[in-house]
Amino acid sequence: MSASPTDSEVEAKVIEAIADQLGVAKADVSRASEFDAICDSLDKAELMMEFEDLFEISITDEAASKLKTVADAIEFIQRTLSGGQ
Amino acid sequence: MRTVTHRRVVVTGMGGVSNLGPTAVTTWSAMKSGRSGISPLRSFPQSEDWTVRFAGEIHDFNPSGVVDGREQKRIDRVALFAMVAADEAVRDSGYDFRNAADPYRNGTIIGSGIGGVLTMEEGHTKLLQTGPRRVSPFVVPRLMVNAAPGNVSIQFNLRGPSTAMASACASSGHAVGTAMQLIQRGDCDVMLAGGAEAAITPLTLSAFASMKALSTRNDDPQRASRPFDRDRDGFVLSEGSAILVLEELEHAKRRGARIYAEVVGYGATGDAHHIAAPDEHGSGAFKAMEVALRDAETNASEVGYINAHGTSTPQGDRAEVTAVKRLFGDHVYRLAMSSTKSMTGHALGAAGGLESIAAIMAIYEGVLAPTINLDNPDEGFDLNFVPHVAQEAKVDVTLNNTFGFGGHNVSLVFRRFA
Repeated sequence: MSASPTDSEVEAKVIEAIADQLGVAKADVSRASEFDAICDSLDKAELMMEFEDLFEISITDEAASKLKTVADAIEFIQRTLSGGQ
Repeated sequence: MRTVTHRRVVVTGMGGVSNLGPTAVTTWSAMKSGRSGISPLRSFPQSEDWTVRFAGEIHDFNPSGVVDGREQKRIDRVALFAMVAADEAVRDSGYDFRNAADPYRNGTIIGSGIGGVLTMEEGHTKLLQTGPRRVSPFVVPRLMVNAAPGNVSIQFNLRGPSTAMASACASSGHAVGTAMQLIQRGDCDVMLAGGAEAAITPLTLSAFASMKALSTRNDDPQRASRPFDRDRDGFVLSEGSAILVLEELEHAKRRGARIYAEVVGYGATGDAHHIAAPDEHGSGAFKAMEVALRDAETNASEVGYINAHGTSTPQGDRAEVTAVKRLFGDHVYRLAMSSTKSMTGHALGAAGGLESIAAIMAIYEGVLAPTINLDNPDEGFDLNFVPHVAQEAKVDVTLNNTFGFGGHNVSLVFRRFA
């Protein structure tokens, strides 16, 4: 069994995926960034799929609706990977 | 005769993307030099099972500079073509659409035969491979046939009528004709009108091949599109976009716009005959041209040039020649008719836009683009088809014909502005 990625590894991958999807610089995306401020609902839906692929997890629509900030997403992913949910 | 008076409409800008060039200017220049834009297929791998292995693809298309990287991922190739063509047309017109005093007076109609079929195929493949929860939320906004006018309206703040036309290969003709009428009626002042197509995909190519509609001249792609030639064996699938800026005359004059030509006539009919085969007598085509000339209050004897639909199919070309000979009588031997599809191939819903550029520039520059590959005109095809090389001629009235599967026939009339 492989070790779960660290919080900073998850953060780096999440921010890179967001920057790539939105066509912005990684420096323009931070943990505090709110999805509603940086993208529209279609971008967010596509991002959730990207996270599912990237981390081999499942994000239900209900769970996704609760992820307001990038930090929320990072924490959710970390928690899921460590078997917390 | 017309029972109502209406406002005059002129062409003040043109833009295009084709396999002959990344702009309307380069496309027209290549048309005049008689160059073919057809080449062996590159966009997807093909086995020997494929009966058609060439097309009129646009290589190295790059919309950057018009559409940023993030937006590009959200937009299908067909709408990107339209946005790049619209950008050129708008710059060419010199009209500042984005800061228009009343943006509700400006609109767009862009035709497409098929729409975002590339996205449809990729989305469907993804669905089969990874299941329903992995289908991109961008599939619908990319594939819808109205994605081109939707995106162009956003691009230029066009808040008046914005819609698509879908009448297969007649889509551009309907788009330009309807946009002309909206301005004539007074509903709008300036319209971006034309067509776009990006349908060189595995499904579309194989489906057209199954219909036996396509040329199978795999050993000599650049000689495959040969309208009116006795050895023609079908059309060559191609892609691209062309957008015209149509403007109310006084609006154009007030801002000192350059006027290429006046759009004066639009005729549209339906064959009510067969879903894909042309009426062999070209009755619907005949009537579309007749109606367009009446709409233009123009005698057939004034027409100097016809940009034919001329797709290089055996039946279609014959029906069109039959219709033209019947309509123009003896005058048919004093006018010229060429098919620029001999160079571009058939860009389906974008064809009428690209070919309207040739019909307009014939008036503006006095050059008639040729029908290349016309080595042996078919029996009874005794018109001046402008074979092989362009001809110089002063023409004041020109026609552009577009006919589509479904039995749609459109003829547009352009006249020298005076």
